[in-house]
Amino acid sequence: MTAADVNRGPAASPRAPAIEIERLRVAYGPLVALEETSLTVGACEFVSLLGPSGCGKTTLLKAVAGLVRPTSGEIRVMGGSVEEARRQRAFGLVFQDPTLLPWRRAEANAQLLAEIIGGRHWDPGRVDELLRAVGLKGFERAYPAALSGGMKQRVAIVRALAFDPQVLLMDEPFAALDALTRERLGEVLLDVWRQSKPVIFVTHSIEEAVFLSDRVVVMTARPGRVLDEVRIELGRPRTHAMKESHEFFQATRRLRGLIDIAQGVAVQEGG
Amino acid sequence: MAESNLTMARPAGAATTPQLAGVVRAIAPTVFLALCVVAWQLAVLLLHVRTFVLPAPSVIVLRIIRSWSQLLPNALVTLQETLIGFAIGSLIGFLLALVIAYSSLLERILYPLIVASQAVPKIAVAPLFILWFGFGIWPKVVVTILLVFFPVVVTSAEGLMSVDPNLIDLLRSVSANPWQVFIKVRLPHALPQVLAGLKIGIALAVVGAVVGEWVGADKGLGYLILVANSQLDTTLSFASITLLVVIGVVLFVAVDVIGRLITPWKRVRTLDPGL
Repeated sequence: MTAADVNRGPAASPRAPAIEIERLRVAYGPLVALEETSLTVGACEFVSLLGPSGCGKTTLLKAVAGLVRPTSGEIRVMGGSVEEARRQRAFGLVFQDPTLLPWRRAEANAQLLAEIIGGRHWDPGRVDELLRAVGLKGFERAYPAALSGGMKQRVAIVRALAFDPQVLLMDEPFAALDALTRERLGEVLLDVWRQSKPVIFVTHSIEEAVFLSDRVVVMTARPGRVLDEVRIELGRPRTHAMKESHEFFQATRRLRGLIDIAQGVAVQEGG
Repeated sequence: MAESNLTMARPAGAATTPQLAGVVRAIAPTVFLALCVVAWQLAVLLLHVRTFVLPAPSVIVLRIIRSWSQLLPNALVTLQETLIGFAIGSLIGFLLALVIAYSSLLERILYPLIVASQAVPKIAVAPLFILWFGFGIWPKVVVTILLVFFPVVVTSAEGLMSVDPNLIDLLRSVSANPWQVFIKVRLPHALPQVLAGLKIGIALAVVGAVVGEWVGADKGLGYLILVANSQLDTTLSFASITLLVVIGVVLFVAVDVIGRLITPWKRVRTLDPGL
């Protein structure tokens, strides 16, 4: 390999996959959370992971973020190792629970990670702009205790994006919210994402997965594996009208079928 | 004053009282205390209780004024022992909590010893402290430290260890160093619990100083109570106890107010339950 090849690197070409997961296996002692899991996420692709509880979706996400060590297999992020990516602060994480710090006001919470990273990622103006974009104008000085669940999760999204990470990893971010708030926040997310970076989005909701994603990956449980995937043939930006479309309906129906299989497999193996 | 602490964790329904109830709540503790004092005064007068058995509140107040020059220097000694013991005890308690929170091995080693230290009757070991630390202020301070550090260790360790693991993951995901995790998350997260420990600690600190003085002292309010008792000067004894109570309540309220000032977010209530 010549020096030029090394310098160009996979990250330089937009066509190269941003995240490559190859034959990943994660076991916690005797409990196998993930087995033979392979997945590729494109440079600006929105991929949802869908599946029954216990199918290792969260484990997969944590493995990508370097929070869980794979037992075997390989994960490459932007062409490098997970550790390298983490050192470059590549990951923006959002959990189901907003995990805001109660002693920091909304603004300061949103700045937390950017502040820790510091340096060139530290841009208070960006936090301001993002807070406005997610509809929190006027709530910058509010403590989390004074915010609703939906607002807290908006702050968590801003916090994850504030340092402009290369990858966005979301673990059922809207699962604790009511249906209307959930729908609204999905739109807010697409709005601030603007196809700027790859997203892995874990969810239990088929409609949510279809509306948000370019591709939905269905997983089976115990041990977690990839069952199949469905490409969502909807244009962007996504609109409410698309939810009435034939493509939307087709995708949800296929996914529902796959989920049935995934759960059937789980039941079979469990019994 | 101190009443608001005791009603802190009431269910939300009790907070929505009309204005009148609010006024009642504000003055009720003072009124109740006044009624008790009046009842005491009347009981002593009407039942002709002799002063060396139980002095009337008015007699005690007059004695405090009359013996002020005797009481004040002794009160200052006890206050000094209390504050020094509280400061050192809290510091030791917090440092032990840090050790416990960051090392499960040391937690296993230290926790039984810490609990055992509380089972030891202070009054029984206090004479040893005189043997070891002399006759001055230090044996009293050491007894106070022994009483104060315990609630601070327990509550602080609890606070430092109860951080949401997702939050720690979040910080790890951006390669935060342990110092950043401590200063930005663990410490402020533990602060309300540390303060709860300090509130218990300051209340115990006064007790510690007096116990220390009882075993061997030539000044302090505890010493004064002993002298008064031996001379059947019950009024002086009550006057000293009254000053101890005032010191204890004032210090408790001070810790509570400082705690509230440095944790302003604890007072925030949800304003808008909707989106």
